[in-house]
Amino acid sequence: MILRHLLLVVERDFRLLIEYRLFLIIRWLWFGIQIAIFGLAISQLVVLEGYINYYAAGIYVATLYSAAMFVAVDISEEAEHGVVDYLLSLPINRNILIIGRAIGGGLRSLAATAPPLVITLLYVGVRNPYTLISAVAGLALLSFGVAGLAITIVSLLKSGAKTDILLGALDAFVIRLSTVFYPREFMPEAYSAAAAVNPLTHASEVFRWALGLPYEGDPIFSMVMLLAFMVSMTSIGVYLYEKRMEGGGWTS
Amino acid sequence: MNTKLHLIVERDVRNFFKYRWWMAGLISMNLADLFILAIVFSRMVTRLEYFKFVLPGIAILALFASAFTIGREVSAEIRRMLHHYLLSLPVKEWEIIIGRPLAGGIRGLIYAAPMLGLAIVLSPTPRPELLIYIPPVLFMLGMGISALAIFLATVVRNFDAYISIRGLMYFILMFSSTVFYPIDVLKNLPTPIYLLALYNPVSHGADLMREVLQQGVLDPMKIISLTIFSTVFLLVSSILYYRRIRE
Repeated sequence: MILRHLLLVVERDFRLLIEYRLFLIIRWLWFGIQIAIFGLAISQLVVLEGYINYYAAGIYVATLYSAAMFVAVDISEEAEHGVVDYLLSLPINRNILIIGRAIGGGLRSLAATAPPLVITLLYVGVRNPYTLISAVAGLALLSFGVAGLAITIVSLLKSGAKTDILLGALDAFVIRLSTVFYPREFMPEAYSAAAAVNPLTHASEVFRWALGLPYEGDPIFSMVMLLAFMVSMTSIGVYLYEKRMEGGGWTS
Repeated sequence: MNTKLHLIVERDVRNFFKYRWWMAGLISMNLADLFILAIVFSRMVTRLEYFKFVLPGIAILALFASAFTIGREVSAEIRRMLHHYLLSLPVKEWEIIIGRPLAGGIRGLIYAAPMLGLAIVLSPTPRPELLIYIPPVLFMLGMGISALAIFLATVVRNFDAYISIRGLMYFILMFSSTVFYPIDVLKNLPTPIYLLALYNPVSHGADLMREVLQQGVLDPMKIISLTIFSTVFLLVSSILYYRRIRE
């Protein structure tokens, strides 16, 4: 019964993907433009050899992060339209409901970013399929963790506008304070310290390691960090969603 | 002349401050670009002083993004038939049509002002006699960008499609410009991208700012090209906007 309910919630979240067809296509085009214009142009200026491949791997991780964060937008819109109250009234255990949403959101993000992933793999080239499987596992951990983080944010704020602003600010700083665009060796000390604990850094490094690109740090350590991020964010998200979702109090 | 153009402009400028959450997100993005991305890239780029290079460009990006927002409002108004309300007001049609891009230019200038101030403060030896040209030139650029956004809003009728195309155009114009890299770098990319960068008003705005703030020169040709861009889009968007609200 529990598994059936979980699958229902995951399936519902996954189906939402179809509603975002146009949005998805535009996202893929954005991804292509970033590599084909910004990536190619800036790689002529930087001293890092083969920077375009480094950038392509990083920009995929940033795309995955943004897609997973979209769960927060979904939940806040559902709350504004009263769908959250409907979901809470269903004969499904609250924990199952929210774990299902985290899993569904994570899976949806992976599916939504599959074409950019394939483009990146084709562009950079796959040298070792086994390491690639580990990297995909690492990316999945990031995706589930970010979906958990999105649920945490939206449950804490209970406001569409505040969620929007925090997501915008997080997007700006979390992506730039990571190794998505540049290695830590070029960062000022304070930025490098922030990047060291940033899950996007660990996902980028694992992905680059799998693609045979220059990477910093230990891939196993990065996988452990991603696992810790996923477990902690999902747990906090489940706890907060259960505690705070009921009783209204949503503001626009 | 008893015109009420200022009321249309005032309404749109006031509306801009309703988007404080959106603006806060945009400000975060601009600040992160400047104080994180530009600083780190300046350690990776040896050919030029990257931070100094990119700073005026980011001020132009801020202007571009904020002036572009007027299109979203026009698109939403057309979708919700709110333009009938505007037409019922005791204002003339031309006041509505001209007031929108004018307000867009002012909004762009207001939003870009802090970035512009920072660019002026950090520029090596700004010449005050040239600095006075910056606000009118940026206002004109902002007006042209708003007209471009209104043009899109009148051509693309589906709101979701409008939002998507607007986002795509924003990315294309931003990356195919000289905001982040000099034009000679773009020469090595496919010809259409290079040509787009060459005629892109965002490139002209960024280059003009760089020249004024860092080299102390003002190229009249860039002002002429920005004037042409703004005039063409003002004309085209005005005609199309008039036709849409009169349908």
